[in-house]
Amino acid sequence: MTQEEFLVRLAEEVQLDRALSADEMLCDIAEWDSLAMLGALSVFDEIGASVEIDELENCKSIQDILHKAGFEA
Amino acid sequence: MKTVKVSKTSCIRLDLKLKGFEITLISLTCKDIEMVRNWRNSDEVKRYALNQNYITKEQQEAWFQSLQEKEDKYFVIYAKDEPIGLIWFNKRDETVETGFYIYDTTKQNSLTPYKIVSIFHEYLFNSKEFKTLTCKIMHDNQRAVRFNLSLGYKEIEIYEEYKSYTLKFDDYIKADAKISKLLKNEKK
Repeated sequence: MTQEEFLVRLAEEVQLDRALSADEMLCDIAEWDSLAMLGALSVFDEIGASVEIDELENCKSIQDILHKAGFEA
Repeated sequence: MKTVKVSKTSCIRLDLKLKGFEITLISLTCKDIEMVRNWRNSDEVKRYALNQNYITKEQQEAWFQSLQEKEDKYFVIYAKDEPIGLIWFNKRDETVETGFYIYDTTKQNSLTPYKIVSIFHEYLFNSKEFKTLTCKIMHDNQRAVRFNLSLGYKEIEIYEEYKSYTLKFDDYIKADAKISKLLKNEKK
């Protein structure tokens, strides 16, 4: 899965009707709630990437999440 | 899960601890009710409560005493030994009405709510006493609506200020299968 595809899947799981961009801060995304976190875990599972829940919860930006998923900046 | 029954005094109720995912749910005692009253009267919690009235100390004590005569059960939620919220169920014939809130705002947009509810729903459905859970959510509490729909709840009725939702056992099983797998799928 490419980074762009990952962002599309993540936006679907978060139930956003727009695209996500790597430079977004999670606190600026109104829909970034528990469901979004679970959705992020789901996408990680889909691509076979593993992440500790604490690590995911400590992410502050979409870029942090991409990094955890193994995508370089 | 450890269950210890103690004598019913005006203070101590059935000591029930439910544990999992570094979350513990412990039966509410009189030592907790002032803390819970302060949580309940906070803007953050009261905003989405059906009863918007300020709760006095006397009202809180009377409410706690009234629980002795009911099958309603309340639990303080602990995350890593810190109290962060309250969860409960009120038995209504063959269904049970549930609810919870997290006072600690740092935990609200995390996976903690899923951990809490996963433990709680497992306890309720495994008791074999209930086949359906219900809850009520204020119209403007979109975070709670999204959360509960993801748990398998279905909207059943619309009222002026809130909607009621139902979670049937089969829907719980489907939703919980995915949620439990994700919560346990941590890096080794």
